[in-house]
Formats: sequence, C-alpha cells, structure tokens
Amino acid sequence: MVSRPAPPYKNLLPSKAAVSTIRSLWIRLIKLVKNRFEYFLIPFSIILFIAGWKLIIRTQGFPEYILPEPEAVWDQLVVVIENGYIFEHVTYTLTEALYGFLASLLFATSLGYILGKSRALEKAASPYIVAAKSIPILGIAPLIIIWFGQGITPKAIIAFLIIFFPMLVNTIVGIRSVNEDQRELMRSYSASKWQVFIRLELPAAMPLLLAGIKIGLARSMMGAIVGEYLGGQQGLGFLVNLGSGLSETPLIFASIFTIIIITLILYGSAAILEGALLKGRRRDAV
Amino acid sequence: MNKQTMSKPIIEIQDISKEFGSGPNKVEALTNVDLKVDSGEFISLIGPSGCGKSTLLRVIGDLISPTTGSAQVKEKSVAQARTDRDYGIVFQAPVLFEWRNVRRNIELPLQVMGVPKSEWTERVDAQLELVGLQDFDSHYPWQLSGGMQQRVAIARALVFRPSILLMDEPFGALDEMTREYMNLELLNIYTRTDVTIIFVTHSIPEAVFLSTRVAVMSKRPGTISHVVPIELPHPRSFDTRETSQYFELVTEVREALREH
Repeated sequence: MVSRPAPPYKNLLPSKAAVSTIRSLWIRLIKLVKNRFEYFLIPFSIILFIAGWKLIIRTQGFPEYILPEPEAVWDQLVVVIENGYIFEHVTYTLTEALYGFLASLLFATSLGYILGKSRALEKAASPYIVAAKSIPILGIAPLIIIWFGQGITPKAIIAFLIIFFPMLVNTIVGIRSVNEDQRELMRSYSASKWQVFIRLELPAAMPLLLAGIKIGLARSMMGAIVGEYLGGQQGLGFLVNLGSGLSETPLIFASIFTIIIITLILYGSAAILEGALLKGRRRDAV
Repeated sequence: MNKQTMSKPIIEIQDISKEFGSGPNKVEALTNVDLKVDSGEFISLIGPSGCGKSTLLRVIGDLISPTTGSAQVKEKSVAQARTDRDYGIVFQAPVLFEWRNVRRNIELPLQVMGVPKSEWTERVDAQLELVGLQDFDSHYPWQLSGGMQQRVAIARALVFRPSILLMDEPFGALDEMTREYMNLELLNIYTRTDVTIIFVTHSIPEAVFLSTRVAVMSKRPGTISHVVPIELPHPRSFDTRETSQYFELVTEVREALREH
C-alpha cells in the first residue's frame, strides 16, 4: 500500500472545537425555530405563495392580462410608490374607513351599552336590528352613492353600515358578561352607577369590545373599498377598478396587496392595543 | 354572661318573611324569622338546600328586601347600614375581577368608597399579611388556587373594616383539606379582629367548629327552628375537632336538622 499524502484541503476541514460550536449554534437555532415556530412560518409561507404563483404561470402559460408575474406586480408597486401615486389613494381610502369606524365605535358601543343593560329595549329593538342586518350591503350601496354623491361621505357610511352590527353585538354580549355576583359585590359597596360602569362593566366588556374593534377596523377598509368600486375617482377600490378597465393586471394586484398590507397594519395595531389593555388577563379567557 | 350580650344587639331581625314571584309560581323563601346577633358573635346559618339561608343573609346585607318584617343593623335600617358600608361580603365564588391583580382586587372597595390613596398600600399590606398572601400581591386571580382566591376575597371584604362580615358558603367549592385549613384561618382572622360574622354553610362540622352559635333552619316554612350555642373554648385548633364536647355539639346540630 502506498501511503497517500495528506489531502491539500485537510487544513480547511473544521477543527473539533469549531464543530462543537457549530453544533451548539445549530441546536440553538432549532430551539429558536421550535419556540418561535409561528414567526418562522410567516416568511416561509410567503416564499411558498410566490413559488406557487410562479409555478402556475409556468405550467399553465397564462399571459400577463390573465395572471401577471410576481415581478411585474413588484415593479408596478415600486412605480406607484416612487411617484407617490399610491399614497394619495391610500390616504383617501383610510380616511373613509376611519370615519366609518369612528362613527360605528361611537354609535354601536353606546347603543350596545343601552341594549345590553335593558332586555326590554333589546326585545323592542331586535326586529329592526335583524331586519337591518338582513339587507345586503351591496344592495343599498348604490342608493347611498346616489343620495350622498361621489365624495368621502357615502363610502364612510358604507363602511359604518358594514361594521355597525358586529360591533353592536359584541358590545351587548360584553356588557352581558358581567355576572350577578360582581354586581352584588359593587352593590354591597354602595357603588354609584358611574363606578359600576367604570370599574366593572367597562373592564369586563373590554375583551369583547376590543375584538369588535379589531374586526371593525379591518372590515371598515372593506366597506370603503366597496363604496369606491361603485363610484368615485380616488381610493384603492377605484385603483382596482381602473386596473380592470385597462386590463392592467399588475395594477390590480398591486392595489390588492396594498389593501392587504394596510388592513394588516390596522388589525395589528388593534391587536397591540388589545395586548396592552388586556395585560395580565388569562389568554384563553379573552 | 359575657360582655357582648350587655349592649344592644348589632343585628336585629324581627318577623321577616320573603316571597319570590306571584300567583301559582309564588315561593315562600322565609317565614317569620327572628334573630338577634350580638357584636363580635360568629353565627352560622345551617339548613337543607332551599331553606332560605342565603336569602336571609341577603336580607341582612340589603341585597334583597324582605316582603314583611323589619331588619335592623346597629339600630338603623339595613339600607342605611349598607350605605354606611357596614358589610363585607364573601360569596361562594371568589368573585374577583380577573383584570386586576391581587393587590388591585383588594383595593377595589377602598377605591369605590373614596378612601384616600395614601392609605391603600398600608391597609392592603395588612390584609395580605392577615390572609398570608404577602408574596402574591402582583399575581392575577387565574394564577391562584381556589383556596387562595377565596383568601383574596376575604381580604377584600375586610380591608374597609366593616363591622359585619357576611359569608355565603365561602368554602363550599373547596376540597375538604383546603376547607379545614381555611376554617382555621378564618377563626384566626376572627379572633384577631372584632368583626361579627354571619356564615352560611351546609356543613355541620364546619358550623360547629367555627361558630359561637349555630342557627338551624328548616324548609317549608323557611325559618330558624333551633339555635344551638357552641361553647367550645377559644382558641380552637385541629384538636378541637377530636374532643367529645365537639362531637356532642355536632350530634346536637344534626338532630336539630333531622327534626324537619
């Protein structure tokens, strides 16, 4: 047997110490992935989504006017962001959505509080509530456009109508979640109505109120966009409409992704607010 | 005669009746109930389910009003006594506010009653010490066991120094061992304060072990049928439960209950 010379790459092989360092780093990484699994899923799922998208185009051979490449959508996004075009429309839609949301917050929570406190009033109001709830919003949206014109107001009203009922119901259920023992306890302290409200009813209803706010914020965007679809010259809904009129699918996709991102930001801010206000409460109770 | 009976009774119930509902659904919860309680007494109300013992407790605490009869506390109406914040109440469930930690739960009555904020820390600390929860003041209710939650409820009921503590089966939901331990804790609290306690229970041993008198209630009519004085010496301990005097009293209460 001929003794072979040491391979030239011998020095390039990692030392034992390095191997153990790499191993411990690897174990740490695995632990991190295991403990924070949900966060690692997000980028992973985005990559998977884009890959699937490209795969469909490759295998089916769709032309751009049917389904654009992700890159085309990205380029379109970069263009509308660079010339500031998108921000105008985002601001417009956000304004409509937030007006609708604030109006709903004001009316749905105050009406919800009254109906939550009085079963008699709730019984009296419930036929109207159910009737109003059964009206398809797409059916009356054109009417609202006819009545209130093309500006911000009709879209804010549509957003308001879409989120009013979920927020109302959440408020009612929230106020009802105060149990009789808790009321008796406050009664034994001779607490005033205001004290019962501020110390008991409001914090007890808070989880459901916040859930309503979270849903409301996200859906108010949807309401505003539905309104823009039906009339007007501004907003993200208008952009989608414009893209479809011009067969500019990248513009449609760019608008849709913007809508998704804005909605996620709204939902996320509400979730952060929720986390802060419900600090210390048991998670599964929320 | 001990010193308590020389002054006017702290609670005076005369000929109380209470009906719920009307017509065919009418339920007579209490009928002709009389009870006098002296300051510093520990009275247990015991009886079968539906005998109206919780109703009687709620009448004393002005959480419901009687149909007929008069209830007075410290020579004033029960409504006035409630306004004057004479009652601390402990329910069967701890009824803690789940969004407040232990300290903030105990602070609740002080906050509602407008006690100056500067006094809160000291008062709450004293109560935490009394119920042995010094190290748990920043815990939230869901992080505590059932027994600990009930101790928070007791601390919250005592923090504004009420003269009467109304307890509605406070240990009914606890396991037997925790319950016996809590009995001892409650006696300890009772002897360290000058509070008068009205205690609703359906446990004979518990009633005998804790009370200075046991009021036995009957069903239909819901009324106090016997009052058994408990002359077991204080301080009472686990050993008290093994004395023959204790067993005799348990038997006496049991027989009083059986007569109906």
